[in-house]
Amino acid sequence: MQRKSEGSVEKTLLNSGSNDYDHLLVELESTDSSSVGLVLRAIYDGDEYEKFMERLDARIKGHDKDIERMCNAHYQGFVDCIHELLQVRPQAERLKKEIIDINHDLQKSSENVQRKAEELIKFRRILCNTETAIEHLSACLPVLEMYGKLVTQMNDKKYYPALKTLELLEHTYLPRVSKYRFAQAMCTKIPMMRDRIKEASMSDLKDFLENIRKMSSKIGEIAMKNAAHQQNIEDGLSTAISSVDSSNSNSPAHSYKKYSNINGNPKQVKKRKAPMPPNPFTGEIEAEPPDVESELDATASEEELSATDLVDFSPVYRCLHIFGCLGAREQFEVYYRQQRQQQAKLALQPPINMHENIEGYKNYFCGIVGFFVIEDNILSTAQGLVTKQYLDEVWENALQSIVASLRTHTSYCTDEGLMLKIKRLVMLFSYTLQGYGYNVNALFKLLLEIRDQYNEILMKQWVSVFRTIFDADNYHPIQVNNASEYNQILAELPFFEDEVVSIGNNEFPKKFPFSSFVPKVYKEVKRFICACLQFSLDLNSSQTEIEDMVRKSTNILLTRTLSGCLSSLIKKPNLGLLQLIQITINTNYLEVASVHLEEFISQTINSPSMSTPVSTPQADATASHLALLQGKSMFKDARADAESQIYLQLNQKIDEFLELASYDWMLSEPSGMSSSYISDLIAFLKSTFQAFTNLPLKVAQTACHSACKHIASSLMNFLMDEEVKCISLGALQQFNLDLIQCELFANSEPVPGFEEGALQMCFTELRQLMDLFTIWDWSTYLSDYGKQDSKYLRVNPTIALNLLEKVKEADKKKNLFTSLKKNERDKKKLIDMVIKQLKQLVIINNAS
Amino acid sequence: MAKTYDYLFKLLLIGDSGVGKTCILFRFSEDAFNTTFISTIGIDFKIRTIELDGKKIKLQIWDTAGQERFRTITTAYYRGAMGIMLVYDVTNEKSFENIKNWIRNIEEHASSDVEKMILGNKCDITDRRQVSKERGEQLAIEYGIKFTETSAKSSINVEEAFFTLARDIKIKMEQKLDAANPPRTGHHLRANEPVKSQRKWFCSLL
Repeated sequence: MQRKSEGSVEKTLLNSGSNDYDHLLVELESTDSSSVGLVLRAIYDGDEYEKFMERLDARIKGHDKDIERMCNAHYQGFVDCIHELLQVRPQAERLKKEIIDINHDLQKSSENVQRKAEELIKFRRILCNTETAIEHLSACLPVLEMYGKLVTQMNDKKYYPALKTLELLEHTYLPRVSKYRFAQAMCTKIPMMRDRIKEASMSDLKDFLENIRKMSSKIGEIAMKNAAHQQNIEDGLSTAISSVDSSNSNSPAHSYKKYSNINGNPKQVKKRKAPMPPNPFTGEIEAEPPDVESELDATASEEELSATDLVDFSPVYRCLHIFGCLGAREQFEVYYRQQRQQQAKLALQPPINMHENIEGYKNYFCGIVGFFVIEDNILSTAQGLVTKQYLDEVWENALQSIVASLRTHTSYCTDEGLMLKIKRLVMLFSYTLQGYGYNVNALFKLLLEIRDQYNEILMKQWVSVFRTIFDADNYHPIQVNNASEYNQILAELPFFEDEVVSIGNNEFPKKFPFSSFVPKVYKEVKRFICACLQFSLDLNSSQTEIEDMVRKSTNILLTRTLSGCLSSLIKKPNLGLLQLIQITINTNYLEVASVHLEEFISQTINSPSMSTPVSTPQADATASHLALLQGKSMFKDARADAESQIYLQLNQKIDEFLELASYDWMLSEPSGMSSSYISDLIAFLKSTFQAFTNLPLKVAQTACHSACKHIASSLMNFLMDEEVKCISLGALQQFNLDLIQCELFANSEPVPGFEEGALQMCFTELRQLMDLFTIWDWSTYLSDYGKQDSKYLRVNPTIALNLLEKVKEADKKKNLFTSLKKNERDKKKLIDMVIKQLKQLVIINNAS
Repeated sequence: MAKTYDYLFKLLLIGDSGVGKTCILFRFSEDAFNTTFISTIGIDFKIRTIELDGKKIKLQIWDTAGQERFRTITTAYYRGAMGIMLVYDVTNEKSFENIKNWIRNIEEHASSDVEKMILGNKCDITDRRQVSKERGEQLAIEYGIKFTETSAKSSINVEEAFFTLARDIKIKMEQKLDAANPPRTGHHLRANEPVKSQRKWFCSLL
């Protein structure tokens, strides 16, 4: 627009031409400065510059005159105004002062207000803060309360609630106040708390474990007692043990009575109601309605104590919960099982000296029972902490260990009483655990093994029993002086009533043919049978099995133990003829008695109350029995042994005499009487056969015959002795005298009942030999040789030759100087000829 | 048949039943002891060889039954005996008193020059002793017989007693032999009297 206006100015300028300078001035006076340039150009472009200048000057003078007029017009007003202004000035001053005062006053009065306001603001702020604080605090308080509760719970060892609280705290409360430092502290503490709870419950568990370890024996004992009541068997744990001890393990018969009492008198046992389940932990006994009976029970004995009273299981449950909550259940299970297995290991570790007495076994078993009873309880109450499978596994391992250690420990045992007690314990142990559902077959099997061992022990014991009997016997027939002694023997051996003989005219003293070892041995065998039986008594075996076992063992006792003892007795070097003879007699009677053992066995086993082992003769004995006793043949063998020992001894005695023989083989003249050794020998034999009146005839005959044969062969050996190089005829005559003594003895019938000439036969060979040499009957011998009716039928040419050569040798020595005599020369020729002939006979004999 | 000994002495043990004759013999022959009392039936013997002054001597010791019922058997052995041990039990008065009877028996049945000795056995038992050593001694002196107390159980004086008796017999025998065989005379003297006692023994049994 301005341009437009410029354009218009120019146009006007241009259009106005040179005369229009007024116009230009107006233009200049207008406020639009941009047009100045155009004006100026228009001026410069025109040539009327001076004109313009003149106009301009005129214009200026116009203006100056306007100004002067204006100033003159307004000057008075101006002065009036100044004047007025001067008048206003003090008023303004005053006003100003007033205002300052007012301001000051205002200032002063508002100060207080201001302060109040400030205070107000402050309090407002405080209030506000307080409200906020309360708000925050009330948010925090439950957390703290929770925390406090947690702490008290921890302190009170209520770990499970504590854990719950902790949970709540962690998940519900703490997040709300997470911005606080204490909350953060708590947060960091929570895992620690958890650990502490874990630890604490763990330590509780440890205490518990320790506790049950301590108590498990007691628990086991109670469980076993309960089982015993249930089975109606003797528990043998406390009271029973003392009674067994006092009843002395050496009298099985006595314990018999006890057993039969229990069996025969169930009332006594049933007096107390057997606890329903064998589990002593299920509080069922407590749960029973408190009827009179249980009240009685409660007062009756402490045995009724339920084992929950003994052990507090809560730590386990707690621990289980806690670990469950902590998600470490598995860890806990592992830990628990590990610990318990450790304990099982300890329980299964038998005490080193367990084999020494029953207490050791008792503790061992109680410990194990305790362990498994506790585990059973845990199985049924703490879900899944232990499983049936796991428990079976543990039991299986335990069983192996038990069997092994029982095996080793019983093998040390040498006391049959202890063995019996062990057996009873093992039985009870098995029954108890069977009641809890464990498989105990291996133990029953083991018992059979132990029974064998028990029998072995018995055997060993009976060896010494028999030895003692043999050592103590005097090997004289038993003499009884009165009725009571008599009855005592008969009570033991009633079947020998007919054997007794009165000495003299009175009724007493009487005499049995056997010595004291017969009744003693018989009694001991019976005692052995009873002892054997004792072990098998309640071993779950049938009567037939038991009887078979007893018979087998008895057979072993007879054929091994007794037979061994007898044979070592018989072989004793310093045993005299007296003893041997009595043994021979005794075995006769034992043989007879052994048959009655059969009866005794079946009676003892079949009698309803095996109270007394004394036999009452009636049972139908050996009806259908499996193993027959081999006593009879054993005693026969022993007797044969003893008999041959008698012959041997007699021959040894004879040898002692023969060792005293001292022939002078160059004797020229016989003394006219027999040598002293042979006289002594014959006298000894005579008096021996005379003195041993109780020697059985058959034995005496054999002994006598064997003695004669022994003498004959020894005499022959004297002649044939290679050391003897020459024998004079004088010496032969002396020898003949000795032979005559022997023949006289043989003829004298030292033992009755020999067939005619039977004893003499022993000396026939020697007799014929002596006759041949003393009669010098060579022609007859040689001509009759080989004929059945030959006078010298029994003279062997070899022996004749041997003796003849010795005679020739003796002749040679004696006749050294006289050999030149014709007589002697003929004699020598004869001898040489006979020798030649004899040699031929020998050759022929050897050839054939 | 080489002779393994120089002399053979036959000794006899007599005394009441139960005084310990068999035990004494058992101690001497086997050096052992047995506590059980097993009474001897009839007669028994043991042989032990001892050495005295370089001579081997076989002692054949006859052990007799003390019981009355065997008396006939046992007395038959008196004659052949060269030495007799009379045994009593120091704890048994009766057995001591019976020694006199036994001596009478010897005088009756044994050869007159038999060597004798009294033994008081069981001297180890002090608490039940009934016969003092002095009384034994006194009795022995009375009969001019040697005496000693013995214990077969504790092995006291048993060996010594037998050696003493054997030595006495040996001395007596050698004296007789010297008397009978003054240096190197012929055979004919042997049949003479001094040897008779020995021969008598054989005769009795023939």
